Amino acid sequence: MFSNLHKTNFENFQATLFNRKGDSIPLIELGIHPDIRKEIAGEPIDTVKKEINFMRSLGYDYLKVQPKINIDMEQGSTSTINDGSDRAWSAEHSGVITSMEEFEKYKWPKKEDIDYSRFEEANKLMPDDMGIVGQYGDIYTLTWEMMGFETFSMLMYEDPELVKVIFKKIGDLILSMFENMADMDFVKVLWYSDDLAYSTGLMISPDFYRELLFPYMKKIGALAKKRDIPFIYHSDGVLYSVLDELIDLGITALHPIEPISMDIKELKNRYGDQLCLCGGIDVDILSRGSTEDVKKLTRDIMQKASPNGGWCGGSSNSIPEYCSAKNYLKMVETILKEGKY
Amino acid sequence: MKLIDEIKDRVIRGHINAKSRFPKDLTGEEGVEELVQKAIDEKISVGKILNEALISSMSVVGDKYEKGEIFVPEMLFSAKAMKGGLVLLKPLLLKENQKSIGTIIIGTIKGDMHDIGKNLVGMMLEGAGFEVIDLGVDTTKEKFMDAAEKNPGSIIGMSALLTVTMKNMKEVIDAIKASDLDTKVIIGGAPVSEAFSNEIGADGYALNANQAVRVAKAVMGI
Repeated sequence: MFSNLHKTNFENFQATLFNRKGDSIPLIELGIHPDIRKEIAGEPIDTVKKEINFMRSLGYDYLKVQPKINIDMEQGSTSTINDGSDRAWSAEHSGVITSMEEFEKYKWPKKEDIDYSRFEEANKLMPDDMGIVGQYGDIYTLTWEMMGFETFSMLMYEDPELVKVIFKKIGDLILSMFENMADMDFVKVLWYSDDLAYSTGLMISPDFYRELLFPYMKKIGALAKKRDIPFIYHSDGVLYSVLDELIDLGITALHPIEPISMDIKELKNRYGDQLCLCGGIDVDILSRGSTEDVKKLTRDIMQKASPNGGWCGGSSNSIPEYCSAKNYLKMVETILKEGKY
Repeated sequence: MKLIDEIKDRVIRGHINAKSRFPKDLTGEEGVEELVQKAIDEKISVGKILNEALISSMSVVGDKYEKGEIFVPEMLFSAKAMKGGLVLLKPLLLKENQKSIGTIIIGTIKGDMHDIGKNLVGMMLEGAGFEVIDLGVDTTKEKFMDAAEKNPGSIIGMSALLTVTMKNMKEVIDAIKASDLDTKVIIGGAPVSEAFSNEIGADGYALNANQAVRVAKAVMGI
């Protein structure tokens, strides 16, 4: 589709994620909804091969691959809510585990149950000029989702031991994924995602993150460093109060820079010498704006974030089904057309 | 410490009752529920307990949250502590015919199931002396209109978590404007902004639960 605008170049993507200036601005997205993919491609993107071709045709230099694991949030309980769309929401009040007894009864998946077959398949099919990004996340998010946010909030103080054991159970599982992904030499970027903040500030006290989450992230950072590959971190919200610490954990790139939470220009001024910035193009405009609005906004963000390199272009979260495919393509086209150094 | 100040301190610190393990250093000590009961037993006026202990402390909690000194979990403890005290005061308030400062109808907008933020807003408003009618989650235009008709002069407070659901807020505002009701509408929620609020013609926008109290008071002219 945009192959005339972009020559696939994984090295350029990798260099940008290390905050270096490449020859053009690479594209990045954490997720593109299947409906949007189908609308653009004219068919469902349901195989690895189709996915590679789809990403390549749009101008992406990578394929994001996840290990498969079944962490069942229900197990006879009702900890998710369906809103009538295909979106299921975690319960905000009470989840599947609210006591030590429920923790022990819960059928936890084992490390051996994690399926990495997609990695091998993707590697076999991957063209030389594209690369694989190994992605997973949510050690913190899965912990609170298991309990429901309100219960989690209360038990953080009323039963901290329970919160710690759930956290460790999930943390160890997810860390093992990153260890395995880092062992595959064809995985050339690690991407950890876990939302820590709202648009007004951190969800919970940073002390909690420091005690329970950051040690895991530090280990993931060390895995990336050992391999000399980039480490992208995704979190919504305002992260200023912990950003220095996140950099110390080894992250090289930050995604998705929601405009309602952090101003990309301010971030670039304050952290542009230490971090590659990824995303920043408002999903709200991508959903409700015109193609002209999208073009204007994309140019604006590009001007603020890309001087001297260190910006991967994309949305400020992901491309949900309520986004306009036309707007999404306009964003991609504008970045590819105008994002040359 | 005077009893009123003690209640205030316990609300700010979120110590609900003697059984609560939050905060750690107050474990086993009397919380808001026991102290409010004590104040009632000592015949301290209900208005004084409400205004000087509960309402004023929740505004301190709100300020701390806005400054990033505390987070949602700590705010939840304070809100639950305040609510524990309020439950004890409610029958007495009714007996004394103490009027609320206004009525606010709250709910998450149609399609939106997320209500932690809305519940916090509700508790803060209650803590500030409003009567709160909570319509819950996934609230249709019809439900908002019905509640507004039954409560003339009230405010509607709507929240949304998603771009896709926040669009539904406009329908409610349009319906209110097309009616004879003098109901004002304030909105909030993660994707909502001042600009969006102006665009759809809301009377006020609040970034967080504390601001919601200020905005609700402002639209009522208090």
